[in-house]
Amino acid sequence: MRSAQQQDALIGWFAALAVVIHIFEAGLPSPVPGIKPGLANVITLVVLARHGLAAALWVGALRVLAGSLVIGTFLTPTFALSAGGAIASLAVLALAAKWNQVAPSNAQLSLLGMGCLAAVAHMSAQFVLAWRLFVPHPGLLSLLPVLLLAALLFGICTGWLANALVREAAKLAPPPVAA
Amino acid sequence: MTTNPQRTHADLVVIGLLLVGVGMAFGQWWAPQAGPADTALVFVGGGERARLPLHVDATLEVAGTIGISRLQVADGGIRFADSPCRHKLCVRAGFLRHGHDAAACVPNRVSVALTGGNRSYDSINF
Repeated sequence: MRSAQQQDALIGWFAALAVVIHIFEAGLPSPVPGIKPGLANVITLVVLARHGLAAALWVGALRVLAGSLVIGTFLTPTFALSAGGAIASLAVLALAAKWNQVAPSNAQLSLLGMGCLAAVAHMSAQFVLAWRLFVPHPGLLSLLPVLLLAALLFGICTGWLANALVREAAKLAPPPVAA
Repeated sequence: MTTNPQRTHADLVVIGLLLVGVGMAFGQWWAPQAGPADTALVFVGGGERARLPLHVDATLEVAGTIGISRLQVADGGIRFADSPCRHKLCVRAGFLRHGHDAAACVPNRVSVALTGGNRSYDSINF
């Protein structure tokens, strides 16, 4: 069992890693506003698998907060969208983690399914926020299916990547006992 | 809690359900919104000059700022057959058939907008 300081240091490391990926992604050009790979979520998923739900929630929340401070979008509309998406996706991840605790072993989700759920939840929350708060125009709805499809495809990518990373990490270091 | 880093059947079920959801979203919000139009409105310099039913084939010559634009109605659509402008963008726009389609000869200040069908957007500015 790790001490509280060790746990904090661990969360700090992973959050820093996620922030770097977050910043890198913010610089990537995107064909449609709102579509981005969500690679930073891989970190959240890996932390969820290896260090438990509480650590993953911390890393996810810190990533959005610190990432926005570094990029300069803190408390802007972009931040509202990002935070809304993060809250929704972390809530869904928490539900999925609870599901895994109670579900029979053959109905458990790996990070692949959890990543897809989180990505689609993230996109849905962002879309509802954007639509309700910023652009209340019915035309925006035409964009929703495309955005959801992109979210699902990227969710599959990040979930698969997170699974692969956890497998590799397990070879280097045995999975720590989750808090 | 340990999360198995291998793909599970539940993952595939979840992805399948999400795909169905996305497919339903496409069915709901991605369907073509504008139906066929029934009337063409012809404007010159912002004022309505003529109203043409699209089910009657016809040609109309409209005097604009720099000359005469020739409009042709055929097969439930309308097009600029000719216009005195330089780039002929209005002619190249081809036949308009759907609700709220529009084309304009900006140099000649002549524009055509279709009504009927479902409106696919509110307005358009040049």
